[in-house]
Amino acid sequence: MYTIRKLRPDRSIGMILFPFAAMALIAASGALFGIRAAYAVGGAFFLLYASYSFLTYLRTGNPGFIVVSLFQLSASLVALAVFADPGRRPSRPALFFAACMAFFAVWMILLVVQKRLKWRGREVLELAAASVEQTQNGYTGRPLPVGKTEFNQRQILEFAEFARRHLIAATYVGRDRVAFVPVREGREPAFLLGLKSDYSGETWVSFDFEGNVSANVAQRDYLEYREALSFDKLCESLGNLFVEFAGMFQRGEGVRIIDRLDAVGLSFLA
Amino acid sequence: MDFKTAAALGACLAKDYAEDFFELLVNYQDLSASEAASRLGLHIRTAQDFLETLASLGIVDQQEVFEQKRPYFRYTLKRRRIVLDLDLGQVRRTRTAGDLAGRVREKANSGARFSLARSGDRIGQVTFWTGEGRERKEHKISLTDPQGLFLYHLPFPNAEPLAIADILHKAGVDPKLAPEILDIVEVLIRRDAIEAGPA
Repeated sequence: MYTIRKLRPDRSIGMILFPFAAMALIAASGALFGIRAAYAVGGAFFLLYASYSFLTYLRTGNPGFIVVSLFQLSASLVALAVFADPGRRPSRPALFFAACMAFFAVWMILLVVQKRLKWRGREVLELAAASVEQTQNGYTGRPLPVGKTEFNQRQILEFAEFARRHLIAATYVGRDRVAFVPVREGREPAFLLGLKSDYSGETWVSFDFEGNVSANVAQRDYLEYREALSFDKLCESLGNLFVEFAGMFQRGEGVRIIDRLDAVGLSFLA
Repeated sequence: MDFKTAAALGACLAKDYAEDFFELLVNYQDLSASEAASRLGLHIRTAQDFLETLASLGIVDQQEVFEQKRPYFRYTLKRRRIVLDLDLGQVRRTRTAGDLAGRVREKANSGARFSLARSGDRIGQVTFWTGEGRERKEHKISLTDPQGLFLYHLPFPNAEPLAIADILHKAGVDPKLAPEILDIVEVLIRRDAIEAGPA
């Protein structure tokens, strides 16, 4: 079945920029300083990337990133083992780490294909816009009070943990509210590295501990839609989507949330 | 006493030479601006302005005197008690129930920025920009809590306008606070950040 998307196709190159830059750096160091230097730079790069993946795990609680981190760590150790013992035949440690790397690579590819490592911001934005009609541009930077729910503080915090772990949204837990920020693939580093201490300029849905729900759509995300959608309806729909997700989670139907996100049918790379 | 008279009297009393000036007026039968100026070390124009203001407020009596030189004024204190009695009720705007029936919503592409308060559940301030290039200026209006709650619940640009009373109800703002809400609504309508819909 062909689905009409409301978002523009993702043409950002942010996701591939870092690996390509690293490969260029490795190649350049190899050309300039020899093959050993290339292994050293590659090892350092993968070690750095492994730290970043582990940080992602710490921030989100998504165990898939441990696998990614272990793959990158193995890759780093292979490079460093070859750097330390540059004989014609690979050393035993290098072979062991290469076997580990292959094992974790297969596991990681499975996780990627299953979208376990995918930030779901695009799916969330697609779902929010699904029932919203086109109209004149009615954008405003103000958030929309969506309504009141019966969720208590514990339930909201549990849902926040779920949303974080399944990469549905980055969460900001305050004294009296939790804000959910759907993050599109490629935009997560700023959230993971703590560069986004203020979420007010982002697309977010907040649940305060008295049950009030508000939603805001950032202009950048609004402009990602192909058409000028009714802005109040879009904010309302986004807020209601999270209220619905929270309700499903409370009923123990978390897996259905993931099914709904998967049903949008975006590629694991989008 | 109206506000302008009270402001003029207040400005007179606030002068650092006012007490010395009144001391002269109480103790002298009458005096001219030049006599007062020389006695207090003021410029004659300063003394003249002060006495003329007091005369316009009815505190001193102004009499034109003709001597050999050109005519001038002499001033006599008319009363020894000055009462600044200002009823602030006169600046209170009268509101009717019809004012709250007015339907409003945010205006599209107004250029105003509504910033959230730190609490996150209301608007903290509204910012406008006027002028172009180097003349561009930023104006910020900090909002009271009821105003912030009201604007948080204001309908979006393309949404159906709502009556002010309905927005107050939605925002949980006490209708007794309507005057300050209507005030900010008027300001924002003037600034083209809010548009009034049909009642």
